[in-house]
Amino acid sequence: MNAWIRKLHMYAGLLNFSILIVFGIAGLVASVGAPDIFEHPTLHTITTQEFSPSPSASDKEVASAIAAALHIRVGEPPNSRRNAQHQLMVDFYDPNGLRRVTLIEMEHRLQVETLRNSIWRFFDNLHATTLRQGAAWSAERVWGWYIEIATLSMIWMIASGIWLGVGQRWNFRWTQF
Amino acid sequence: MYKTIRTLHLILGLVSSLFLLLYALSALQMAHRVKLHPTITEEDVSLPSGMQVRPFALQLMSERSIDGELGAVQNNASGFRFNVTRPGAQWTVTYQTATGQTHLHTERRDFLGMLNRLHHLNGLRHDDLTLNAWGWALVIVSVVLLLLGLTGVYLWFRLHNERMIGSVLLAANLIVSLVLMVMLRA
Repeated sequence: MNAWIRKLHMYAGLLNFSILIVFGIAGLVASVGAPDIFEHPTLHTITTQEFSPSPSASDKEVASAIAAALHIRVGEPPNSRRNAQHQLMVDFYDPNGLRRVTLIEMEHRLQVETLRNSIWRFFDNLHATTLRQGAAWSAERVWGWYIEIATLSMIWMIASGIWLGVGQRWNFRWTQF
Repeated sequence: MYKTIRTLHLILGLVSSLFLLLYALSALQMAHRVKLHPTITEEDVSLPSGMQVRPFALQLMSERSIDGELGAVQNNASGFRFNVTRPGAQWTVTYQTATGQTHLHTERRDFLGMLNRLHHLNGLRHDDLTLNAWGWALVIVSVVLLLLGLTGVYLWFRLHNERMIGSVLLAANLIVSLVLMVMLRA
């Protein structure tokens, strides 16, 4: 049985090799406090585009309409809120950073502020991209499935690794007692 | 060489297993939004008036067995408010400077809630030594994770009869993950 456990432990490790590396990098990025998008974005752009919301729509419906107008596929209704000037603001987070959209209703336009993160924060965000993120069949959702499988594989590798490690015939003097 | 790497892989795996299990379980909790059930208590106490944030927090910690990191300090016209946080609990304290009237909001987390907080706890510059120790543990476990991956690939590569299946699995993993990463970064 141990031979099969070792085989399955090894296969799980090989299938999840890159995610182990992503998890390791994410842990180090969080520990050293790599600059985030608000401190040091690698790209910061502000663009505008025309947009007129339906006059009878709620803020949530307008937020979804904004996502559609910007061709952003989201899995769940986007988070929206009002700023100090009572303008509707919608944040779209993805592994690359943030797109913050402000609806300037009187001028019938959207202001889109894009903050792109560093490659290190990208890895950090990748490790937190789970099944809940992204639209169906998007790269984000597929990555979320990969994280899900990797997490379950990790639990298997921990359990089988403990079994194999404890059952090992160790050659240290202190293990001979 | 093979034996040394194998022993290293086993020892690193055994030493980090509980940490990795904690991260894996809390990751599943977050991904599936398993609801947390903290125990919340509210309490009003009367304390000396006219105090400042840090001396007040210190007094409160010693008198009421509150332990953790002081944060989220907000001053307002009538006094101040702050949090004392540790992985298993959080206290939100509201203090009226003129009267000394203090409101304590205590949130004690259940087991999953504590795992969740530990998953998010990082950094090496906390006031609390225990939190810094956890921050260092995260650094070590992250390095161990990288080493486990690399030593694991080496150990597989030395098993000649496993090279065919292993190559397919590793190649599939690298192709899928790299393609997804490029698509997500583009």
